[in-house]
Amino acid sequence: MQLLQGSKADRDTALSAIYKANKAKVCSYILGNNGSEEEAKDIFQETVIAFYENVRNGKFKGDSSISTYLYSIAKFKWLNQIKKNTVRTGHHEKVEVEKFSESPLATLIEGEHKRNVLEVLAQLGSACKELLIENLYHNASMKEIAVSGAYSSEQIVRNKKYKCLQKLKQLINEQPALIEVLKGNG
Amino acid sequence: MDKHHIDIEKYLDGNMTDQETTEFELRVEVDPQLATQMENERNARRLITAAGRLELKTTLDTVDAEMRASQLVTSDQGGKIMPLWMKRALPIAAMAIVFLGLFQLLQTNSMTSSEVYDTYFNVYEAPSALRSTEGNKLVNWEKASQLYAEGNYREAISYFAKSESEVPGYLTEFYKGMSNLSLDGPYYQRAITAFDKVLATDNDYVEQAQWYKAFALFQIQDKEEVTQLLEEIVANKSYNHEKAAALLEVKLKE
Repeated sequence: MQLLQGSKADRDTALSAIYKANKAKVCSYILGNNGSEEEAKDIFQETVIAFYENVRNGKFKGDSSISTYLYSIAKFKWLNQIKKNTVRTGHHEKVEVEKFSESPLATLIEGEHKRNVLEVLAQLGSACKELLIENLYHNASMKEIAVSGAYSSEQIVRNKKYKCLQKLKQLINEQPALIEVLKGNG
Repeated sequence: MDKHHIDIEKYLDGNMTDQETTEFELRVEVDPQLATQMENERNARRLITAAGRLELKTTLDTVDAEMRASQLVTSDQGGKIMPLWMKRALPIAAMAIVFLGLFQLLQTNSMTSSEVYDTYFNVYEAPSALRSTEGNKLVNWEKASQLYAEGNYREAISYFAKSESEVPGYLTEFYKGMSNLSLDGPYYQRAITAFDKVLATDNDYVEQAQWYKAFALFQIQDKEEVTQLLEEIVANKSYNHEKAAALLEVKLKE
């Protein structure tokens, strides 16, 4: 758990271990409930991301085991997916979806919207992208970012973050369609 | 750094007291400028959340690929008893594979985005003069073509858009895509959208649109789609297939 909130290397090590230890169990649930291998993999990856976000935001405190927690999220996500598919195909069978208390669950942006996001990031530049993702997504502090390498002090990180955010906002405002997508994905 | 920005950050990070939060929310209600700034900040954070998730997904895809590779090795061994010589040779073979991997990694062409642009991008030639049919003047098309030939891509885009009723749609879309790619700060996604429209019909610009779409996908690092498209260009020996083969070997430097 602590590794998940550490440096990028620690985070990747922890995520890799969690992924390897739980993939079979979670995927076999989805495969056993009419899911394909691809769907099982997608749901499991979204589950791990949702779990990571819940750890990072302090919503998961370790009251249940990681394995049980992941299984619950995956089940919730898969039942939700079935429900969506059922509505889409016009069958109105009632699907019971147990309420999952933690939200919002991670949803990955796809297709053209994903490319819009990638384009904005490409225009933002890799230094800004890394700084903002570390600080705003992974909750790394200014001090941690400064210590990790490229900046000589916390104040320099703070100034850089401000400039990066200004640039990012300008890039986003040039793409009104993207704003709507982001609102639905936050 | 303005005062609004500091307050907005504090609010969105949940670092205000209850009283400060109430006061701030009241200020947002009565100050449209502050409300706009707040929404812009929220959108920026939403985009970073999307980016963080995409980055995590890439990490998880790598882990998944490792798992599948190791399962393949295990199933290849099929539970047979391994001879002693093989057991001894295995670590040496493993080291050789690691060294080979490292060697190939060093051989991999690593470039920055602007190096890729300078090396692999060429502005496509300007449209040649089209003959207008009776009563159908190509005023906007000709103006767009002239602006494109002069390198005034920003204005060319708006004239190409205006000329949609004058020439076939795939032509205007192709050149809109090219103009977006040729700008000083290229708009890759807009170019991709335009090239997708060219690719939706059968016309003389399909191969060119495929290459330039692949180039744009490469620049925004849409790894899944770009590899597939570049491989298709190479396999079909279509427009710029040699460049496509070379681009497949390029790794973008962060």
